[in-house]
Amino acid sequence: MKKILMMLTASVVFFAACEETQEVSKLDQEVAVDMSDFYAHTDDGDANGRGEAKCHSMHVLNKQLSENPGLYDKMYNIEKNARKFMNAKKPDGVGGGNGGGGGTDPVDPVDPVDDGLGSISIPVYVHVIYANSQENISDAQINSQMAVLNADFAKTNGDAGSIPSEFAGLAADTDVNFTLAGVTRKSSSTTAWGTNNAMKKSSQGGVDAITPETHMNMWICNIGGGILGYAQFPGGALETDGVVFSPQYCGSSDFDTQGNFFLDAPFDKGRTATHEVGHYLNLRHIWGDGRCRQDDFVADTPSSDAPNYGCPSYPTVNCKSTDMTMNYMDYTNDACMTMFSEGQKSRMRSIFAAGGPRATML
Amino acid sequence: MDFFNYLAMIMIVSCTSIVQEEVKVSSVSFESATRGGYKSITMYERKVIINTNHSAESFLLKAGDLDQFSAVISELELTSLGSYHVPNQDRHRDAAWHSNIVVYSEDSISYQSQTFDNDQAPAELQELMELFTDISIKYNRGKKLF
Repeated sequence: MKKILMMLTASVVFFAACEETQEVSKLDQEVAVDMSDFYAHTDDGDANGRGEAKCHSMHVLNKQLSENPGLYDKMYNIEKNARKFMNAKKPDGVGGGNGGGGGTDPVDPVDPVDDGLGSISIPVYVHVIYANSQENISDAQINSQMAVLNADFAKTNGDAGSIPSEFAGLAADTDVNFTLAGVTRKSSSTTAWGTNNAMKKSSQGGVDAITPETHMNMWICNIGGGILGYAQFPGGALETDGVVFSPQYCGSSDFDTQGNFFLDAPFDKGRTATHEVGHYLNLRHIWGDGRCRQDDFVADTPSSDAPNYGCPSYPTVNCKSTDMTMNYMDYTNDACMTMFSEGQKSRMRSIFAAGGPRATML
Repeated sequence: MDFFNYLAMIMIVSCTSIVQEEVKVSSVSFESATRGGYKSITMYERKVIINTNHSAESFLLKAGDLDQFSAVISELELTSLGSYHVPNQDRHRDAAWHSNIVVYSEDSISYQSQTFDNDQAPAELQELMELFTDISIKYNRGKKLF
């Protein structure tokens, strides 16, 4: 009886979910930017290979929308703004906007249209919170991290030459750079901070963010629990805005001329920060945090159904295409990450445009 | 003798019809990963297999534990597994491990939950998660696996 009752309930939910999908489509027709594939929270639940996942997925999405409309609206608006910006930048003007350009980008000749934002310089405050002398990493190690960030975002990283020809043309110089604004250091008895943002609050033994509306804050402390680093997406609370990573993943052994950096291979080339700053600049994981049909909202990154780990061989094929395993937003080892794509560049830069969540940083 | 000697129910739902089927479960896995880490616990053929960063150990499952798992699994609606509400999304910004539960049938069909934050399983899977946690501590020399 219980099974029969649940079966009937499931059928009602299923058909209701299909109707909700149609309602979302109607709403999307009212705006110039196509937002029909937007998701805030859900995975593509193609769990059982039986073909009903799309309706289930939309049901879950709409359930969450009704539970937290404020958060959803904020994420929706940031995404809509990003798409307007990216559409305006397309040479054929898809999306109807005119961006801030129209000519060839003088910085990057591969990039067909100047977005009008110029070079974006992000000042960075670094907060080192340490429980022992090893975690109190040196200025040289912090500087090596800044060097890696600048190289990776400018496509001047020494390993960019290893990008397979299939993707080499998509590798981007993002024209985003980072300058060290200052370093704070604090001794603490806390040995593992977790991911509840305590390190960002002086009231909880951490260090408060410094002018997060104009500066990126970077906390370096032992997170523990197997987490290398984490970030906050744009649009969140200012007091917790920034990135966090553990000291042994800060900086690169390539700069360790004295042999005294505190690093832990194979995450010892500074790419944890590159990855987390990607999130801070609105990039999602390259597999879209779901299966094949769930996107990272970047057109030139191939669809994938899961993260890649280690150093994958090329080509690694999933979802009927070659994974861009060397992208910084995958989960591979530091030495095997070498590029952002042009689409990711546009997405990151869009948040600095007028109306974008990080426009105040320019 | 099969590890899970019972029949679980599944519902095949499409836009035009609903069909009910019975499935014999062969194994159940909880898998969790993040950049730099991997853990899993699998119940299969009277064994519990604990895998940490791709180093696996296998233990014989005691009868009482087997019965507990069988009871919890038999209450699952397998085709609903992928649609349970996931409460948190911290994994999208690396603040949590990416976790999921997979149930395999004897005819090699897998039923998979949506990915969820390590410590934030869908409410419908909480009982199963608690069992996984208890079993992992019991068989993993008292160490918490996740």
